[in-house]
Amino acid sequence: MPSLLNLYQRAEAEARAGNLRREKEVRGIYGNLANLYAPGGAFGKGYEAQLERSKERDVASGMQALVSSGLQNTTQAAGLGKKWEEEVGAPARLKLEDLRMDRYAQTQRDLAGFTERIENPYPDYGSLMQAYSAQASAPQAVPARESVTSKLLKARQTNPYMRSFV
Amino acid sequence: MAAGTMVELVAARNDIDCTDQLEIFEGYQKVFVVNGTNLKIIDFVNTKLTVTALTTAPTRGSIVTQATSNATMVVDFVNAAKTEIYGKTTSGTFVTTAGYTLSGGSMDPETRVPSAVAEASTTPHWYDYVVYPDGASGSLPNSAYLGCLYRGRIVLSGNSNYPHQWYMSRQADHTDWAYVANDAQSPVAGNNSDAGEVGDIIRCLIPYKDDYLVFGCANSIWVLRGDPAIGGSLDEVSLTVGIHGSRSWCFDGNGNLYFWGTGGIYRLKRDFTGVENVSRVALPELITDENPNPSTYRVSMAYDRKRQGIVICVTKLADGTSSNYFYDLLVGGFYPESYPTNCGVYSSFYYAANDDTYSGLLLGCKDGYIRVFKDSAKDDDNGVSDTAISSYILYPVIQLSSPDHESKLTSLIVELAGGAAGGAFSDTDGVTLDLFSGDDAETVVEDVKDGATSFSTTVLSGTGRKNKLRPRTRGAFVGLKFSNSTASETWSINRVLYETVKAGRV
Repeated sequence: MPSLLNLYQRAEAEARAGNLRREKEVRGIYGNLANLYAPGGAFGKGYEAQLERSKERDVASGMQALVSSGLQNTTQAAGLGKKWEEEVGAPARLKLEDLRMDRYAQTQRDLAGFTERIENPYPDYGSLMQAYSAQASAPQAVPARESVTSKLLKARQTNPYMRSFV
Repeated sequence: MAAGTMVELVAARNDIDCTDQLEIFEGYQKVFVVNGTNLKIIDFVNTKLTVTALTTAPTRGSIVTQATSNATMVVDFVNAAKTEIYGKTTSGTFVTTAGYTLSGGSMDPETRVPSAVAEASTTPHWYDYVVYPDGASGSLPNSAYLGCLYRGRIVLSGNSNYPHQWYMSRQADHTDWAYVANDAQSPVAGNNSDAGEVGDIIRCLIPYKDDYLVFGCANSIWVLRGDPAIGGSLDEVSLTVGIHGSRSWCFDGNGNLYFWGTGGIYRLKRDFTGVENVSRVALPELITDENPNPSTYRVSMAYDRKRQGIVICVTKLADGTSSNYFYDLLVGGFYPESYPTNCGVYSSFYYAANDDTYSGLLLGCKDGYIRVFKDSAKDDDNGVSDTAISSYILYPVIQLSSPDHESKLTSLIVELAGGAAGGAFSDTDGVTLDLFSGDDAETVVEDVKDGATSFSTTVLSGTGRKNKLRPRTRGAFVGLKFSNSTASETWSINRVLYETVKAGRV
């Protein structure tokens, strides 16, 4: 009887450990995703770099246009960067931020769902008792006695000097 | 329309410096006064409400309503102390009755009652030209001596510390000077030059409708086409010709620009197809002769629509002595004039009245009077007295014969203007004819110029055709000088006829 209980307990502990291992692993993945989308995360870095490059290019074009129109020595030149930010940069960054927050929120929602779905399996005492009952009423298995032939075969395999007719 | 009476705007007394350059220009039913650090507004449209200082001024363009009286106004300006609200009254009449509080436009508090109400229709308001007190309207330049209205923007320049700079307010909002707002009406400041250079000193601002703005500089001319905040362009018109001063320019009836430049009097055609010196042939030494230092002389120009010519006045600011020209656009001739010192012209402006009686070229003179050219006057008005008009004309010098021969002027017939004595046409007064002769034209001109004794002098009087003269003047060239310096007299000639006979070799 104690051995059956031990079996149950060991199996349960192994299952729980496995679940915890998976949970930790999944939480790690969600954590990575959250860090990616969280403010300051790596998501959109490339896009932001591209925006900056685009700003440089557009402001330079704007300045060239001002030089061509003779208005480079006016406050219009000073406002090129601000104007770009207002017309292009800010909307693009806002869109990126919206996307980032959308994904961040999705990640958080997924994590919440995952956490919600985690179940702690308690020992099934009904099964255990059934197992006990079954063990008590069933014929007991007796280990078979080893035959002489079997013993001879083992001896032959282990002793190279022994030659027999078998 | 009837003749009016000029009165002093008392509030402006001692608030401007008349010994310094002062320019005014109109815009939004106001007159903007630009006088160095004295930047002022004369307001001809708004109602002024005086209140205890507000914590927060009503926003510009908002509606302020007075309780009970239900008077409303569109707010145009609030002074820096937030004690004066100026706005266009759109309904009712504002009053000072206790309990009639003002509200609207996010003003704070909304418990103020005007302590005084003044209408511009009674007396124009006079106040400092400053930005709107909302903390977001930037600031005006500290000093300005030039100004104009262009495309609904107030344009200022002539800042002593930054003489190359120009400044423009927000379009349709003279109280907003916060640059780099980056919208299509944004205030703008700048200078005229190629990229990275400091521009030339700006001496005048010349707007032509809302199409272009010419910057007349000391040694160059630039033009801003369109609006600097949206699609405009700024280009040089000339890098070698400058404009003398703030008033040394005018437009003719066709939109061509005339100005006193670094080498004479120029015309800039309205299509900007080049700058042409129109005085170069007739007055090649004009600049050398006049040499008007911009700091001590004022050159003013104005187009006289009635006489279709340009009056060019070079006046010494200190004493009013003047040397002036009438440039007749019909014949392209320059007629030099000088006025009594009291009549030295400081400014000129063509006033187009509904009643043509009151239309004409107005001349702001040294003694403070505004004068006009009056066809019926036979003397110059010199304040308390009149001054005889001294005038003369040298007829084009006549070559009497072939290049190497002299001739004798055997007869001369002069027709004075006026037809018969009396009658419908104005009669001329008498005129003196002096005859000069010489072997070459320049000698004749020099004799006239130097006041040399003439070959003969004849006084003509009466109107119409005069008796034939037989001067018997001999020479290769003859000059006829007509003159009159008598008080209460003016004169006019229709034509001169003559006959000659050969008189041997020169």
